[in-house]
Amino acid sequence: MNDEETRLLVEAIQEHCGVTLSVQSGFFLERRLNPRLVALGLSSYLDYYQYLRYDPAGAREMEELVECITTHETYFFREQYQLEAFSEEILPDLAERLKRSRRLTVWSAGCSTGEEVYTIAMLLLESGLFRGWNLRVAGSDISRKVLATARAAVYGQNSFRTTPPALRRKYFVEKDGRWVVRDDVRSMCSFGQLNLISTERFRVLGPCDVIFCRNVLMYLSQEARHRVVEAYYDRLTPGGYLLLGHSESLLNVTTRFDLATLQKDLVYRKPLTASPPSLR
Amino acid sequence: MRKMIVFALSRVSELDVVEADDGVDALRRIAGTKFDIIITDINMPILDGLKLVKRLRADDNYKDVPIVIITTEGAAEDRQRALALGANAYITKPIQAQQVIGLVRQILEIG
Repeated sequence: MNDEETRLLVEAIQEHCGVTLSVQSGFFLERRLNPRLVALGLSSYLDYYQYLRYDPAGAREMEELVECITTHETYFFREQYQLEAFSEEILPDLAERLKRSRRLTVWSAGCSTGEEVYTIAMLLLESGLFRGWNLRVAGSDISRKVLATARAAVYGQNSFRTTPPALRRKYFVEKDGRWVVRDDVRSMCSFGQLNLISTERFRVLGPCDVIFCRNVLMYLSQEARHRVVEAYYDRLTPGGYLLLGHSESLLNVTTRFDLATLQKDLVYRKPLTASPPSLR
Repeated sequence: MRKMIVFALSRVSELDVVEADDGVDALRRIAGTKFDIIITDINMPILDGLKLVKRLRADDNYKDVPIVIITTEGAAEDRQRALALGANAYITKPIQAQQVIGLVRQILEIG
């Protein structure tokens, strides 16, 4: 892949999903996209770019491309300190604040194969704070392939590297050497395909009390990051929480969130005095 | 019943399912997103199923989207009105998960 081909593909990817790759990523792109060239019978990356842009099947191929370049690595109970802050500090606050409506919605944005979504659902059940509440955990990802895995809810050993054995026994059923999420957990969870830069579609989720977006913003361009975070702000209920990955911050993105210092983590919070999600 | 339908449909791997509390909530959520099918109960608070069908059919983005309504047994008049307003099919309570999945697959022509 020459420099010009790299530049064209990097631009097309950024335009489609906000993911920003450096112009030095030619080797990475070549390694990931070569099987697509072979599958389509194309002889150069310029042909591939033109196929993406101008062929009637280009939009579908762009989805294939995104499947090839995105990282889907995840597991249950990832980033334990943050989940402890969620369980021990955020959930009691929400249980108190939302006790009249008795409904709680959590969105896992960029949920990959679903481990985070089911982890959140298990933590809601484990807290014992929400019996009889209307609980929803929504997972979204740009990749339809990972969402199919999430919906199937069947996991191998690799997904359990930090799962306490007692929780695995409690919330999973073993089947043919793999583990299936129990139905009472699954029934709280739903999944949908969503390109995060299509912020106008966020309203399908309704108002959210917590948004998990861990290790996703880091792949986006500054402009896309700003747009997505502003849309998260709009989706959150006043006092709602935004949880990012441990290496991510909203520095240089927005100042609209409060930085809440919890015992176990620093998290972002929409001010209690802010407006509720727009109902337009 | 709503939970059952949502759970059943969300297990069909081709489908992204969005759940709404009532007609107004449904209109808020669908704005900005294209849906392939809409399933609604006729009895809902705030904006009922008949009014929802009417509103959707008046919207250019939703004038052709298949709509399935859910009615109670015996409510023949409601069914007639819904179909006259532009609903495409109906299901009568009590509802089985497989029945909903079967109908959705048939309408969307998925295997």
